[in-house]
Amino acid sequence: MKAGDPDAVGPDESPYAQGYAVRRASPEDLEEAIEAAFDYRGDVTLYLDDGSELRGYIANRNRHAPEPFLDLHPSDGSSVRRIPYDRLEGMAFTGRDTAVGKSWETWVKKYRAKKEAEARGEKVERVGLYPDSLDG
Amino acid sequence: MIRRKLRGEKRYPLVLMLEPLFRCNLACAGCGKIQYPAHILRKELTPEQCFAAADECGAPIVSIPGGEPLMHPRIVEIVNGLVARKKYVYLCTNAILLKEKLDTFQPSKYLTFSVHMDGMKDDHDFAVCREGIYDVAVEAIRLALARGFRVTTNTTLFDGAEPERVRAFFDEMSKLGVEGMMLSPGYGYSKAPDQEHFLRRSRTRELFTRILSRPRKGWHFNQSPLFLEFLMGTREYQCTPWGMPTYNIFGWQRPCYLLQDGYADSFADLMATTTWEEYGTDANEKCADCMMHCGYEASAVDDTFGSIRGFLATVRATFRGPREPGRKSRPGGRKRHAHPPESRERAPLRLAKELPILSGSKR
Repeated sequence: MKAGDPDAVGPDESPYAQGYAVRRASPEDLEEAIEAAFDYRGDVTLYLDDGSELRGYIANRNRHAPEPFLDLHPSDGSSVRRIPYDRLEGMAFTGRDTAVGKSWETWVKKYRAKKEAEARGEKVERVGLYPDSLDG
Repeated sequence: MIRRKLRGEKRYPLVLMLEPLFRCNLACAGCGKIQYPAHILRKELTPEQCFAAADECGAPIVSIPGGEPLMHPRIVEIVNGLVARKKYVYLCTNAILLKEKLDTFQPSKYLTFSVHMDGMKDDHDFAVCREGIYDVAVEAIRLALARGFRVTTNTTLFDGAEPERVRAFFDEMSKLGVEGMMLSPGYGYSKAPDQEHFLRRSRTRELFTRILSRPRKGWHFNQSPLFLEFLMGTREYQCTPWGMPTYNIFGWQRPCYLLQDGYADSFADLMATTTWEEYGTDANEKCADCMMHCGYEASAVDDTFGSIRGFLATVRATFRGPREPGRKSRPGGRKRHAHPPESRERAPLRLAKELPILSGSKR
């Protein structure tokens, strides 16, 4: 079983889930969205003031710096980009949140089922949880 | 360390937590370190970045967790470079790849494989969410010891751990011949799949008191004895988050190995601009239940070297075993034995041969 099995993903009650988007927001709303994006374990798409878009993972932000900025690791694997807050017009949570899912519950269920089968004298394969594939 | 104290340095690092990658070949329930998009998991620190971090930080010990460091294609180069710098390297591994990679490393007094073992066979396999891993790790430990490598274990405990089983596990590891064991309560990562079994402070103390009281002969711990007393609730410490700074593919992590509140571009920047007073047991709700070694072992070590009293307490705990909560020395130094029938079993807390006071953990 893969840890990030899409079938195993449960509902996320946070408004800052995959699919959330904000355009032409106030600086306050944008700052709140950046904080949520910093905590989000998936890729986001940034909409910049020159009309361009950047997709990647926000690994860092500093709202207390003289010129607040965020660090984005682009999805294409290119070098990290430091983006000033005032260049942002909006953002969208476009990638899957890799920290959301029911992998633990599924593992417990699978493990128990296996132990029960063993107790009944059945021969069962070893069970395990595997990280997501990095291909594709 | 003593030199730094004499120089009047208020904050200095003891262990560099160097995470050269976040990729792992396990998906453990209690781990919040590996939940990233694929393009982040493909990233790695170069050996040069690792050496620059070790040089800038200056900590005498470098712990290499991850992710799984043995998945890094240049890990041997990284380890060799750190050993050449006379850093005590703790390579924290789940040991799945250890047998395959062992011959690429050279035994050295500076290199220790710190193998992640969360308990007896069933307990470990359940915690790492895959059956068969305990056997793989034990085989790798045996092989590494036979080839002359230094090997320790690191164990993370969660709510539901059974003290007697943990003690039996210590017996098992001691029989295996590991140089030392390290243990810690699991930190409540908000991103970990299992959110139900992180220990609260009172429960941590209760559990560790039951585990560590009357340590058996042959148990060697690779940790500060005062930190073990802290886990048992015998003594109180404030967190020392700068004691074990973390460097990874994002930079220098604020404020510590566990919390991700942002990154600094340099170690100097981390030390100078982190608002340390915003973190710690009483200052931050995310720190409230944390009793992890990466924050509190440095406090214990500082206690040892910060006063004669701390030093003597360390000597006492080393030779007489950790003191249980509520048990104070009587005048004249004699102690009341709460468990007379088993007191003969009480053994000195034996520590690993070198740098007994600290090591690193995978999670």
